[in-house]
Amino acid sequence: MEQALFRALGDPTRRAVYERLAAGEMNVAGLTALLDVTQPAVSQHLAALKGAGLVSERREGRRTYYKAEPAGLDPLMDWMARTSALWPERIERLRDLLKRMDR
Amino acid sequence: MSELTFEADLDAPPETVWRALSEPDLRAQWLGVEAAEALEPVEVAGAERLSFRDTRDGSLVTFEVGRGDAGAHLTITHAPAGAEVIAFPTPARWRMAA
Repeated sequence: MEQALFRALGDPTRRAVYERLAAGEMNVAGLTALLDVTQPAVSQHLAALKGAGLVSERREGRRTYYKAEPAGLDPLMDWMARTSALWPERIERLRDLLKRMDR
Repeated sequence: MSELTFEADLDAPPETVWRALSEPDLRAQWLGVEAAEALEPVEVAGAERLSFRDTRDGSLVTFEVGRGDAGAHLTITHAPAGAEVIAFPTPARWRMAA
């Protein structure tokens, strides 16, 4: 799951799109003008971000607005919480092991 | 950045710490057997730096050993899968939780 997340954010332009949307809701035309990329490219990046759960859309008449979904980062947050808890215990076990080893 | 870093001053010579990192049997004693078996070596540099890929989640674990005040100084970096390519974006919720 983290892997899908990082694949989606691994592309610099896609990351720029995500960062813009983290600051506030925008449509494709607005993103295209801001980021100096073609409209089809923006649409493609938005589709990838949506697929990873990082972006959601809202329709208003003929327009579609996009915004960042902070919950999309949850797999990463979970990974970080799990991993943070792991290492201090391991380091204590390493200290014990080093005491038992020949110097 | 989304990678995690842990530092420890260890009361043992760097050579001894290096053995605890580089010898699979010793590694299993402090990482736990399951975790140790999931680690595949990626890179070794001298007797100072050692990287592993965790095959369970694709994350990258790097150990660096140097001399420290007490004996050895160990730095552990753990980066989630794919994190190499990312300078991570920071929406409000991320900043709060970090």
